[in-house]
Formats: sequence, C-alpha cells, structure tokens
Amino acid sequence: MLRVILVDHMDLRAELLKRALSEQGHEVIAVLTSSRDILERLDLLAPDVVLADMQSPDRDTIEDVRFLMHKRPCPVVMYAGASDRDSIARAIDAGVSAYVTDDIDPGDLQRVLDEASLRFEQFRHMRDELQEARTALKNRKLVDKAKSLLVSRQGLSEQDAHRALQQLAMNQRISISQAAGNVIAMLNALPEPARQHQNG
Amino acid sequence: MTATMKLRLAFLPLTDAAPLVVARELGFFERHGLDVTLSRESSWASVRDKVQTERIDGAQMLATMPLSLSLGATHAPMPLSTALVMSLNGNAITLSESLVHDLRQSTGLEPNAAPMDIGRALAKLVARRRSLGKRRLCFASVYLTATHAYALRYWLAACGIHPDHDVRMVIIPPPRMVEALSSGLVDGCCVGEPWNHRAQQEGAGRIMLTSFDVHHNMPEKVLAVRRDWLAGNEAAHHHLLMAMIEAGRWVENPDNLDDLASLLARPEYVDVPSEVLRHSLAGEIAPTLDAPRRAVPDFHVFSRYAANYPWRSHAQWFLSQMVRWGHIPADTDIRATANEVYRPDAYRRAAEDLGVGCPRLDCKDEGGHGTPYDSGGLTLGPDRFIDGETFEPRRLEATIERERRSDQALLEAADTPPGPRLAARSW
Repeated sequence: MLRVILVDHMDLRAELLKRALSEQGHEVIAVLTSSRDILERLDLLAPDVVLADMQSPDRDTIEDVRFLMHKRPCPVVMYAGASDRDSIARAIDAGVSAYVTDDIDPGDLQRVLDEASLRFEQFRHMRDELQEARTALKNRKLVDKAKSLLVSRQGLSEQDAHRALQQLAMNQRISISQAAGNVIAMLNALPEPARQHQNG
Repeated sequence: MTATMKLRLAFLPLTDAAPLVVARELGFFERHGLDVTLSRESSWASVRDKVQTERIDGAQMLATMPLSLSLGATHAPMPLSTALVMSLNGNAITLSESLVHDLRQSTGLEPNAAPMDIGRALAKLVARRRSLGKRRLCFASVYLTATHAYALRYWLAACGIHPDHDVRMVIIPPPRMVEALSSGLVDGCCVGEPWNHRAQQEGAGRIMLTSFDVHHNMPEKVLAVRRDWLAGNEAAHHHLLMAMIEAGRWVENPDNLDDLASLLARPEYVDVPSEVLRHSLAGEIAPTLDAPRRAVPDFHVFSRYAANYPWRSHAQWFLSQMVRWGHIPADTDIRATANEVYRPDAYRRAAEDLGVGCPRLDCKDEGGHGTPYDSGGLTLGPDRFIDGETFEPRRLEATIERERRSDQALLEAADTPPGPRLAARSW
C-alpha cells in the first residue's frame, strides 16, 4: 500500500483519482489545493508518492519542497492529457518523473505507481553511488596529500607515513581520511620549523 | 533560402518572452527559413520535462537554468547550451503591504528610501522579530536555481540577512504570487513582470527595488537548446540566433511599444491587460500613491549593450552563487561548466553574418561601471552590484572565499542576538 498525496485544484478529478487509488488498496492521505498546503503540509505528511497535474504551475513549488526534503524523497507522478501518451514511456525512461494519462484506468495507474517507485529507487541508487564514488576519491586525495606532507616535511618514507596515519586513526578511533585531515591541518599550522629541523 | 527547418520551442507567459513571440508573429523566424512551433508552459519543471523527453528542441529559460540542469543540481544531468541572451534585468522585489507597514512603523523607513536602506531596515526588523520570538519572515522566488533567487539572496546577504537562517525561502509560481502576498503566506518576493505591477495594482504589495538595483544588467532569460539537438542542427541554430537578434532589436525600439504590449497581451501569450505590460516595458516602476513613479530605463533590456551576447563571466557568477548557497557541490568546475554551456562562439558567427557588432572576449569584469561605457567600439551597460563589490573571473576563487566568510559571519552574529530573548514562540 502506498501513501499518496494528490495536488489538484479540480475537485472532481481529485475525487476520481482518489477512488481509483483506494480500489487499488492505496491510501490518499491528503488532497492539497493551494501553495500554502504544499509549503506547510507536503513534507510533514511524508508521502510515498505525490500525484500532480502536469499542467499545474504548482509543480515548481512541489519540486522545491522535494529538494529540501531530500533525506526523505518520494516519487512525483504527473498526470496529463491523453495527447501526451507517447511521452510517458520516454519520461519514465528519463527516470525523473512518470506521467499518467487523464482517462484513468486503475490498472494503468497501478503499473505507473509501481514503475514510478521503481524508477525513482533506481535514480536515487544511482545518485547515492555517484556520491559514494566522489567521497571515496576525495578521501584518497586527502590521504595522499597527508602522506606527501609527512614525507617532505618530516622526512618519513612513504611506507612509514602510511603507517603513521593508520596508527593515528586507530589510536583516536577515527577514519584514516579524518586522520589525514588532522595531520594536514597540523602541519600547515606550523610549516617552517619542521622543515628547518629536517634541514639542520 | 529554400528548405524550411522545423523547430519546437517553449516559453512561459512572462513579459520578457517578448523576443520569441515577436520573432514568430512578425515573421523573423520565417525570413530565416524556420518553421517554429511555440508551446506555452505553466512551470519551469514542465519546460525541463519537455526538454528531457525531447518533446521540444529548446526553450526560453532562466539564464541560470541551462547551467543547473546541465550539472543535474536537482535531477539527472541534462546537457544544454545557450548562445543567446534574450533579456537583461526585468525582475523586482515586492514586499507585502503589511511588511511595508511594519518597516515604516518600527524602523521609520521613508517612502523613497534607497535599496540598501530598505535592506538595512529589514535587517533591523528581522533582528527585532527574532528577539521577540516571532516567526521568521518568508520570501518567495520562482524556482530554486532562478536568477530571481540569486538576486534576492544577494540583496538580503548584502544587507546583513542570511537568506537560509534569518528568513525562510520558498518557491511560488508567478501566477500565484499576488495571492501569496495578500494572504500573508509570503512577506516578500522576487518575481518577473507583469506580476509585481499586478501585486501593486491589487494592493497586495509594493515594488521596493528592482533586480537592476541589485546588479545592473545581469542576464535574465536565455534561449537554451538541447546539446544533442545542437550537434545535428547547427545550421538551424545559426538561423535561429539571427532571427532572435533581429527580434530583440524590434522589441527594444520605443516606436513599437504599443504594438508590442497588445501582441503580448493576447490570450495565447501573457494574457493580461496591455496597460499592465506597458509599465515595465516603458521602464516606469512602482507608480504608488505615496511614492512617485520611478524611471528605471534599463528595467528591461532586449538588445542594447550587446545584451544578447552570452558572457561566460555571467555564467561563472551564477555558478559561484549556486556554490555559495549549496545548490551545487563546492568542487564544481565553474570555468569548465561555463565554457560548455554558454557559447559566445556560436553567437559571434550569427552576429557577424548579420553585420552586428559583437564583443571579442568571452569574459568581462563586473562591478566597475555605474554608467554605460565603451569597449572596443561597442557600448556596454553599467554593471554595478548593490554593495559596490566586484566580480573578476580571474579572481573567482578569492570571491567565493570572501563571500563564504561574510556569510559565516552572518550565521555567527545570529547566534548572539542583540537584545534579551523573550519567551520563544514559534508563531
């Protein structure tokens, strides 16, 4: 069962959709009809799916609220006029939002909701993976920089520098990249004396 | 020209869609062998979806949008390019009647106060509300990464108000802005025309300053196209640019003002009375009862000052503001992104074919000119920032660091409120 929010200014259409959704075993937790509703209630209600009219100017408000609540995202499914039917497949492929035609077939709606949730999950997964890859790269750069500072300023071999970082991380129970960050900060705070010591 | 090239473009019903409307209605597209279908959209999200699903080849967009969409700031990345700026300036900051009343009562703000003084009075009021435990004031723009949002944020921060902590920032679509102001949902907004004059006409708010006051002659709307479409349609794009440059010149000619206002007023375009459109098109701002009508001749710029030229330095400034407010990652390659998305090279070829003068450099410094100035035989527009700061592409990193420090100082100042904190109530 999905907890659904409808954003719609048209009572009748909202009522039809609501009925179709309950027949599918979903729960429409709210029908939002104004900017105030969207701003003040959308994120509090924590829906699984938001259904909105593709032609509604409120879409920019919905998207912004979704951006702010990025920790608890939900797929947005638009519904549109029948003329847009051929854009549905491509929209779904784009993995951003899905579209449902106006003449609502409960079976279609079910498939679209499933599809939207699935696609959204895929998109989120892809974004998380990208984020992880970025963080990993950043961490590796930090460790490399700390090592090269230890080599150039403290005269350690690269292997010893790496061991020192591992030891520091273990002693302080922090990650090796955090240890690297600390070492960089410290060595940058007292730059020249260390070098003189090494030279002298 | 013999063959006709078909093109699908989209616009939003706003005054500065003018060059697209004129290019179609007055035959500029046709003369350049283009058969253009224009679709009217009701949200920027809808424009984005249609570009993403290849329902359209290009669209009128906020000057920031091809940058944030190409980077995938909020969605999957979508590569876009722009080689033509449609308009400069054109937005205003309107405060609700009740906020203006509060400002006059509690800070003694004068009706003709300068933009920075309005901001400083607002900062005092924000601090007082915090010490009284009142709710944060709420300000609206029209899209997360909109030109409006960055103008509003720049002004607030310059006046000592942190936009994400001292006030609340929300998104309201332009057609709902007047109601949002009058119902008290928002206390102020930055929006394009005709919505500021609409708000004032209906007694919902007052135009206090313009985006021109915040930064003279920033790009507002651009004509953006899909990068995959551009790769296979360079000739059509070239003719599109030429038609739009010519349309911009027509739009800017004061002799055409009446025709322009009545054309835009039509139901299939902006769909509001032509008198409302005329105010901003003629540069007459804020005709209120207690303040004289102010002339802002550069309120809309469609052609002069080499306005249509896509300066990469403008793209860099927008990207620096997106980094500043956490809308894109801090490690974004600003210069590379600006080079990929903003295409002065394509503009230059179109301008040369038309015999129109055009800048040779890709970047310029911002902030040094309070009046129009000559650059290599071309007249460029004033480029001052409201706080007198400068933006030099060569010193991009230093500028980002300076802003980061001053924003941090605002956060720290807010942690120690000036007066004793009274019983905290949320509303």
